[in-house]
Amino acid sequence: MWPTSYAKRVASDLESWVEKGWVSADNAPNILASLNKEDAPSKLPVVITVLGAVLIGFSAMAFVAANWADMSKGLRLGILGLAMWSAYGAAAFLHMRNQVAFTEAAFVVGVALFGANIMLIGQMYHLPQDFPAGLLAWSLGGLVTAWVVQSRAALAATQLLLMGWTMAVISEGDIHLMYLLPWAVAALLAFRLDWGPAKHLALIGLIVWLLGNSPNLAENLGWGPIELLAVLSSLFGLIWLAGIAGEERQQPFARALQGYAAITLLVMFWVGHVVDEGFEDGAGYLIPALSVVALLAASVFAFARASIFAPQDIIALATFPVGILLSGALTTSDGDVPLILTAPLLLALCVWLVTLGTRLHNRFLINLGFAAFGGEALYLYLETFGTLLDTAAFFAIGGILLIAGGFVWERLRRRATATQSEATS
Amino acid sequence: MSQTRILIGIAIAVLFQTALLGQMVWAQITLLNSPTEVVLKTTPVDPRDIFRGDYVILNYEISAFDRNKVPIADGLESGDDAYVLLNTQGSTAEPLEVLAAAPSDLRQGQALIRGHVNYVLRDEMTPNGSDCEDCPSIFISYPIDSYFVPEGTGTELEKYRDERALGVVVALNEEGDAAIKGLMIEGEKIYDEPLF
Repeated sequence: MWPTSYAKRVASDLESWVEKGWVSADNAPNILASLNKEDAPSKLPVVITVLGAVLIGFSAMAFVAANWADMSKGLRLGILGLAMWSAYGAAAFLHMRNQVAFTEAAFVVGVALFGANIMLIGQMYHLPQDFPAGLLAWSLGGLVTAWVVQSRAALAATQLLLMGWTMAVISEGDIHLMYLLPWAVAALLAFRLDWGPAKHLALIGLIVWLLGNSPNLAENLGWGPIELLAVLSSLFGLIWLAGIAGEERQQPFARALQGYAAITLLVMFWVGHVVDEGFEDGAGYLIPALSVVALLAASVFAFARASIFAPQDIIALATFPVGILLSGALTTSDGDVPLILTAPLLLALCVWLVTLGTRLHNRFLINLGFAAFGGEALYLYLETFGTLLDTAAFFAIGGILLIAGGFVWERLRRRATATQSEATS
Repeated sequence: MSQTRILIGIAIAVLFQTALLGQMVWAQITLLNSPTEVVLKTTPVDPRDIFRGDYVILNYEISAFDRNKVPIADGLESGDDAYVLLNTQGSTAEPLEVLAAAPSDLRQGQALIRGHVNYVLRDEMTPNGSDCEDCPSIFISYPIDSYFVPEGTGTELEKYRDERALGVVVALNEEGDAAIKGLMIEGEKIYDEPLF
């Protein structure tokens, strides 16, 4: 087994704890041994088994797609129907033998074969290509299965199918409110089973739905991408705040909420600062402006209530929608985007993300900040501002500012620490 | 979960899924057993469905109408259901009228097919502004636009596209629902779809 980061950290700290006398030299090897003990069963066989089930599902779909004329329709339907029943029969048998992983795999095969049967019927009777209806029927079958047998794997498969369903409806230009109903049923089961991956999928499903519907909603409202991205950024800023508030109260899913909000906000800012469109004619600034005001008000409230929230966080969160609006306002009619102004904002937000992650001990935010910083720097290098010399100057100035900022920050930190020490002594 | 509960759960899942599949099959069989049968002229093209394999898209002659030639009900908009009244007395069905609602009864030699209005052209002008008396005024799609074929055989049907010799045998019920029963080339049935 590979040592976890926690085990590595304890191993490195243990030496100094023994030297300081906090831990006896006799106990140190026992502590290390307990960390490396493989008392939890490996999840690898489960993962491999479920992946095998997914492959069987694809095999069934390819069987359908081949439309083998040498076999009658009834026989083809009989084979796939029998295979589906067999999968559920196998699940019952395996469950009775306490084979949890294989039972889950059998459920996935059952749900996959149900989908293959839908495709086969569609093919046999030449039903029109209606992805939304097919995916809805498939999802409903999966959802009922997941609920009645409380299957984690069937639930995860259903959540993915539901996402496919909503995207299929949205791609036809509709705003898809109906998704929320089966999504909520699936999310409820995720929390009932208390299974992390399904909770993550529930959150991802909601984000996919929200972002997917946005272009159709914006079209109905007469908004362009800038107005839409600004309002969405304010909304995800609020979601982030909810995550921070949840972390303060030690809510179990608060960190994940912050992570998804951070990713979405960075992606939206990136799109907002490269999209070569200004404000939509006649769209109006009112709702985007109000959304920023709402975010600011909520940030100030969070600052007053949550001790882990700092003043710079208010500025940073508001910078996401404001930066996008700035980009829209300064984009010329020829489609020239003001990268020289907005790119430093994005880089600064990445630095803030690293500092926030450090403050909240949230390694994901730190890594995300570094990754986004690197990605944006690479994009700017490839994009170039005007000439390569301008780009070189931009990076040099940015680098000097960051180094100087780091130096000043460290001085301030040392001064604050010294003042604190004096006050306590 | 107890063993009894999970076994009951599995039984419910299997029954629910089988019932859904059974309903899909039953609806199609009922439609295919309808006594009304028409032949519609079509031109196929050959794409591929990622889930269901090779098929041909069937573009029907009754997909586009010129209001100067066929009466079209007022008030039909994009997204509406449209009902095309067909004369079934010839070798292939011919459109008589495009209606906004299904008529209460059909005369001898008439059939009804329900489609979906894709879009409606209000002014009879081409995009460059010249008069366009023969331009189609309404475009309708039908739920019989896909014909699935064994892998690699779609191109054989596609070659009939230019000859316009391909006909689709369609079963229709009184509500205008349609299902494909077979294919005809130059009046001869080349594919006869079995129910099972």
